[in-house]
Amino acid sequence: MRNMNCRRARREIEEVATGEVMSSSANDHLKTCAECVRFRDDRLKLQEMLSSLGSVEAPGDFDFRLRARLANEERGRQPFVMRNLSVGFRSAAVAAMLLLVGAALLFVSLRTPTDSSLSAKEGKPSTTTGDQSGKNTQQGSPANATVAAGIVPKADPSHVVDEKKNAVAEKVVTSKRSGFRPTQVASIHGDRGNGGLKTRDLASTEARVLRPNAIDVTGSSVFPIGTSFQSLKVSLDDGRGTSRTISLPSVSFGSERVLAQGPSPLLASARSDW
Amino acid sequence: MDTLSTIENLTFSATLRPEAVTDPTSDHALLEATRIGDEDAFAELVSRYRNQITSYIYRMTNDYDGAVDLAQETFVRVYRAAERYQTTYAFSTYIYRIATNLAISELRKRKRRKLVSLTGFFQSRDGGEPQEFNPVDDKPLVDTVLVADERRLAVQRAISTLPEKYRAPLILRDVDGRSYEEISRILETSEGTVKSRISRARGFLREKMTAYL
Repeated sequence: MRNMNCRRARREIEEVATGEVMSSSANDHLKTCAECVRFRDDRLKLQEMLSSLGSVEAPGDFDFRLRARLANEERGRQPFVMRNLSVGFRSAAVAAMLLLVGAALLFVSLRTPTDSSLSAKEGKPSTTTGDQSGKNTQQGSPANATVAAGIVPKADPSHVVDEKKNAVAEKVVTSKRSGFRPTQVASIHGDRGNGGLKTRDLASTEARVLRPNAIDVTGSSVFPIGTSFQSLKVSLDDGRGTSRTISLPSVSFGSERVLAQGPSPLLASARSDW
Repeated sequence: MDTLSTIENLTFSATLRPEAVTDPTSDHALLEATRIGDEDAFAELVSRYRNQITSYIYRMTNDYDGAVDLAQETFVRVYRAAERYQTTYAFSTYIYRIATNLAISELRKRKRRKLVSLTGFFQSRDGGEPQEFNPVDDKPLVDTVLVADERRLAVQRAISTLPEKYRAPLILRDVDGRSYEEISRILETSEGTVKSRISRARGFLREKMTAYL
């Protein structure tokens, strides 16, 4: 019972504020309990010491430094202006961005059929794959037949160059991989229902056809290989009857070497030497 | 008290007396004026609380320069969050909560950095809080002022060794003289927890200050 009273009394001693009067029962207990009296005295001394700590004053330039700090904060936050804009303005900005994206998509979608129609006007059938390719080859004239990128038909006589008449290739097949000319993406219009499902074949590219009369003899043609297929031979005579012949092979640029070595670049291609 | 909350999360549920808001000299009215751009009102708020906040943070951190910096940061946050402030609680509770969070955050940073404390050289073997090194000078001191100063210093050092969860309520209660109710609001905990923590904190201090009691 005594312990219970001590616990209650000490709790009251702990909770009572400075200057407050304790309850009569706690005071009665303190008259009989020396330990609780000591506890109370320690508590009061500790309270006195803590109170004696007093208050620390802020430095005199506190306000000035605070103003400077606030000014710096404001300056530092200037780059994030967008965050402080009104909701309406931000919504308008987002709407404008969406409009721009939509316009870009519309432009791209409208531009693709225009390209294929341009090809048709120029008499260049689009390159297709599979069965479509066979149809187009048959329907078009041999001269206008388009060769798929990087593939030269073997049996097509229109691709064979008459070496006696023309020293240069009649047709030049350009491909996206060779990097000679920019290629155009062919379009295929499917016949699924009335909707006319549009597809694009990104795997094949339209080949560019060069005709003999279209080749620029000045050398500014798109096909930079020299017209001579023979290597350059230089004979040196030292005047004493000794002569040396130096043979300079034609300049090659990788796969183009085939064009220079073979009797005909297209025939060489047809022999799978490409 | 358990976790640091941001100013945006500081919400108050209790209602404040209407006259406290309508009084033009009240803290709430000054903050309302600050909200609409009255810098003089904010200056008045600063002048009312700068010493209290600086002192409180100093007692918490035992570092005067750091306390001044944190006190300024407290006012910066009040200024920045003026538009979001809800006048449902006493402004003092609001600003003390910010100051407490900043001080506790600073104490945790120091703990992470493992700063060498000049007042806590002797760590307890079980890895607990550092034990205070309080060499008792048995020689009689004739100068009472010197005795009082030395005692104050010892108390401050003893406080700085308390765990942070005991330190804040003890300072708010025994140094600043705030009520249990207000402390529980500041620390966002129940009154019972506050009382318990203060009792434990006093017990720690009694052990450390035996030589002075």
